[in-house]
Amino acid sequence: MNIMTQYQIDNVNYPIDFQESDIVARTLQNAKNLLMCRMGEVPYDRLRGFDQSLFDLPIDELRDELVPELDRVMEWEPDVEVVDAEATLLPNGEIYIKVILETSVGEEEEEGEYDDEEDED
Amino acid sequence: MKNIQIKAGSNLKENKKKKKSTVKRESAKPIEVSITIELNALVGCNVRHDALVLLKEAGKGAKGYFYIGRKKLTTCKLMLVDATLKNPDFTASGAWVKAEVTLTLKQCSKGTINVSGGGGDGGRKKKKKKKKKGSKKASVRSTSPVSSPSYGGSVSTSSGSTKSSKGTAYTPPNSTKSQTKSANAEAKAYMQSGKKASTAQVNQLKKTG
Repeated sequence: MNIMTQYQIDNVNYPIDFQESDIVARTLQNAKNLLMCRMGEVPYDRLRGFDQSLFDLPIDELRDELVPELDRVMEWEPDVEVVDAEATLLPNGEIYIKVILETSVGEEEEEGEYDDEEDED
Repeated sequence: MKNIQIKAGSNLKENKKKKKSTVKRESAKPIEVSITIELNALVGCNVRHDALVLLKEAGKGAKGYFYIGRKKLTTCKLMLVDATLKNPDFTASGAWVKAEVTLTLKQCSKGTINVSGGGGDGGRKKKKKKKKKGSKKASVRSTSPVSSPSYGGSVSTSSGSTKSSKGTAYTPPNSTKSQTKSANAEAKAYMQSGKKASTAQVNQLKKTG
């Protein structure tokens, strides 16, 4: 089985590093930026960003809607794929979102994983 | 929902040899999911409408992710390629009471079956791949995001638990620190004297900080 690296991002504020040179870190930054972006705040691209109306839902309904919403949001970064997500209601009333992502950037092709096994004559 | 069937496999190429013929993997087959949905008016379903919508979407080739509960089944998008309506029941007045719709979905984007959160890989030992010298992909892969967690996240593999590196700033190792310190001292000495500093001058500046 191919071991695919998974990454975790969350909705905790973190400054963007514009000088980041690592391609994987840059891709994850893009994904985090999309997660932190609010839907409707970008002119001429009102669908970009996370739909804030989900925060008004009961926490169980938010959890049901979370992965499909993140799939929609991450369409602006086609190099990442949402694997799983989790929403937690914090004691101060905020909602902490943890997203597990896979990225095709920086990974070797999964094709022919067992191809190099020698044939027995 | 019943009769869920998930199919994945490889296309094979026959390798004819002197003594016996063997097969070799050529490429992966697209993942195929088939399910049967029971629509029933007794639980509030508009059987005719829902069944016909599914048939219409199959004709259009609707694409999307397949979720069971809150989890994605595959990390790739699936396309609805086939829908078959079976055994519809009607009342005397012609209203639809129940029907079965069999759907077939096929992989239409890059991705695999979502294995995270499951068990291991069955103890199968993975062979090491030979890396091509000077390949671009190998060089990108060698720079692990663990060493530069500036995106504020963490890293894990699908077979293991997530290693958290959240909130930790990148600190250079001790050797790098000392190198930087001596280089700074050298530069200071150069600026003060206007020529390249001697080792004694550098050491003195290092002590004074």
